[in-house]
Amino acid sequence: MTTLPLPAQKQLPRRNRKKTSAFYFVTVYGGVLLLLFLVLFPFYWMVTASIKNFREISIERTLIPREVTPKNYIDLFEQTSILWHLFNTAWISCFVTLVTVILASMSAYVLTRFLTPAAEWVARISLYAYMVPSIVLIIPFYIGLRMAGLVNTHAGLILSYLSFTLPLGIWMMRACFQTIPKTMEEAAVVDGANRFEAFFLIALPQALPGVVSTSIFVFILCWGEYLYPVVLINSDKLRTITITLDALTGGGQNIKFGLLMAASTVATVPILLIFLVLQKHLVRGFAAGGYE
Amino acid sequence: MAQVVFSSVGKDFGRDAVLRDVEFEVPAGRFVALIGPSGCGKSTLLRMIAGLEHIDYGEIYIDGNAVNDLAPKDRDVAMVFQNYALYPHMTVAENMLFTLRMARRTRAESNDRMWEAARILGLEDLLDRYPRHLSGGQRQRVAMGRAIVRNPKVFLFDEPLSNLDAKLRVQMRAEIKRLHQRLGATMIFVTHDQVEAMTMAEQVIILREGRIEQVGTPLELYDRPANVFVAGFIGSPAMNLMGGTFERARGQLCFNPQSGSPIPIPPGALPGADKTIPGQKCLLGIRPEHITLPGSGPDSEDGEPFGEIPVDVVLVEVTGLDTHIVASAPSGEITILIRGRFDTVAGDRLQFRLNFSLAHVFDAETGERMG
Ligand SMILES: Nc1ncnc2c1ncn2[C@@H]1O[C@H](COP(=O)(O)OP(=O)(O)OP(=O)(O)O)[C@@H](O)[C@H]1O
Ligand SMILES: [Mg+2]
Repeated sequence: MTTLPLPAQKQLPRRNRKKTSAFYFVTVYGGVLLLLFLVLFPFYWMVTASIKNFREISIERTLIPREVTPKNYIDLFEQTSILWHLFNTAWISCFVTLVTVILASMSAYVLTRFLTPAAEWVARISLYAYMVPSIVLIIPFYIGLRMAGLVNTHAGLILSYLSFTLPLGIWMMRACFQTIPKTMEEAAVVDGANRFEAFFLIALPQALPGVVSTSIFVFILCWGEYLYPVVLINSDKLRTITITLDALTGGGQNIKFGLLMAASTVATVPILLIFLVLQKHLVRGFAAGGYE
Repeated sequence: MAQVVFSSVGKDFGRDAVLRDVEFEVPAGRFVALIGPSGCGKSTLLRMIAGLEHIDYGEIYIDGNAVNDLAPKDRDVAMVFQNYALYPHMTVAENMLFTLRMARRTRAESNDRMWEAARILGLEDLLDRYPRHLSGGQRQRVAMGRAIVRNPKVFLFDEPLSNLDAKLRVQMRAEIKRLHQRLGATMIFVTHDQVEAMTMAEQVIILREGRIEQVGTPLELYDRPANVFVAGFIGSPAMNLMGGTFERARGQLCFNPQSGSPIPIPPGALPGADKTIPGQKCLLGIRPEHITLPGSGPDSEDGEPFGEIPVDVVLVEVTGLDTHIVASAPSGEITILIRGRFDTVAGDRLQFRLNFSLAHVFDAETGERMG
């Protein structure tokens, strides 16, 4: 069967397809490679600079390090309390992410399932709230937190983070719940579940991809947040990693590139790890959700 | 097993009344079909029984208790949704066990019941699969399994067969019927397919625009439709309806169609015609299977020329088992159904013989049955 020669006119469209697919190949892969280069080169530079010595970074500007040295890292851990700051950042980011995901998924659920007319407004307001730049809110926040005695505490910092992660989380989770049909929950309710069971056992598992992407988003926002910690925290022990990096620039006068790049690498690794771990769940979550 | 009673139930969605004054009674253990055109409120009615929609007016009783204020989980009903609504993140077994888990049954008992249901529905080999790996028919079975594991008082089915192909539908029809005989439970089955309703149900409720048009056994609906709507809805091909009046001339009752010559009616054949007043606009309804060709039908009893009309064949449809002929008569288009084969083509001139003793008379204005 397969050895029979194909009629000529049947081969024609096939050759055409090949031509377009070659064009397609070049554009798409070329574009992807260019983007990858643009994204990855700074990372490459950051990591290599962190293991180069001062001469190679600032004077010779080598692309590939000739001599690998751990000196920047040793200096970093000796001169700064970066591990401590890393720990602060990690626990605050985890905590805020957890609280955001729990509160946001529950509110988003209620918004999509019960308060449908009002929900439109709540959702819009939460988006506007997210769009208000932190710099506008920072003074009122500072005053409010000082009255509550929460300036220079992690509690105050967490509250301020929640002010932007919650609206974002609600917005994202709402979009997620909107795509999940209500019938499964109705089936669950008829099957004898109460509203909480319908939420936790039926709706939330289906929303898992949304939960994962919201978590990643919120976590990264918290990890890289600079403005609130710089204003609200002034004791070294309570600092987060962004402030450590800021301190290493020495106010722009005396940038210690080696140290800064080592610190940046240290600050980036946890995020990369989290991505690697959660990405799998992200894909799995998508595979498990909905079948129609 | 439980009785379900609707007592002048109404439902509004915003300004639109979706159900109005719905009243019926489903005796315990009965298989009832709820049928009506799309958008007439069938799903809404079912969801009100399940507790998924608020009951705006009236009461619904299950087993003698008003359930208006009962949460769905306290009503002890099971529902099979049109799109099955299987839990996508649970296996077939978990889907069926969910309701038992919610009822806090012991693991051993739950497993026994789950296996029993799986056996009845032939799902034993699929228990570890996820819904997305099932065919439409298998999903349908799982949805049924989820309903029967709990042994509820009332089963509700919302068009469970409409997503299946024709062959599977016929098979599942028989299977649901067998399930009903086996469980003896009260079942309310929504469909918009009249064949499904007629073949499966012991009692049929016809709904139209939120109102009940008629409640009765399939044969009652077929033999004595309460109004024009029911007459046109039940039966396929649909009943022929001719507008006209009944006149009595020299002791002979005639049907006087809007156009065409009067058709004499045998004495006593059509009691409904006697109820009309002279000149009252009526609709004469005759099912296609109650019109025959002279000499070819089984009811050429006495050879009297009553009810014969000349027609021109417009269209012939052959199903193999029977032949449908659409023909134009002076009074309008008429469809007839002949068992077996009949050799005719469009353009032929035939005589149709109306069997008046099986005909129906409706008031043209109200649509109500006369007599
Ligand atoms: N949540 C709702 N809000 C507003 N109107 C609704 C709602 N649900 C149903 N309706 C309206 O109520 C009417 C009846 O709907 P229902 O779903 O009960 O019809 P149905 O008989 O099941 O139709 P189908 O055969 O198409 O399933 C429709 O006109 C529909 O538009
Ligand atoms: Mg419906």
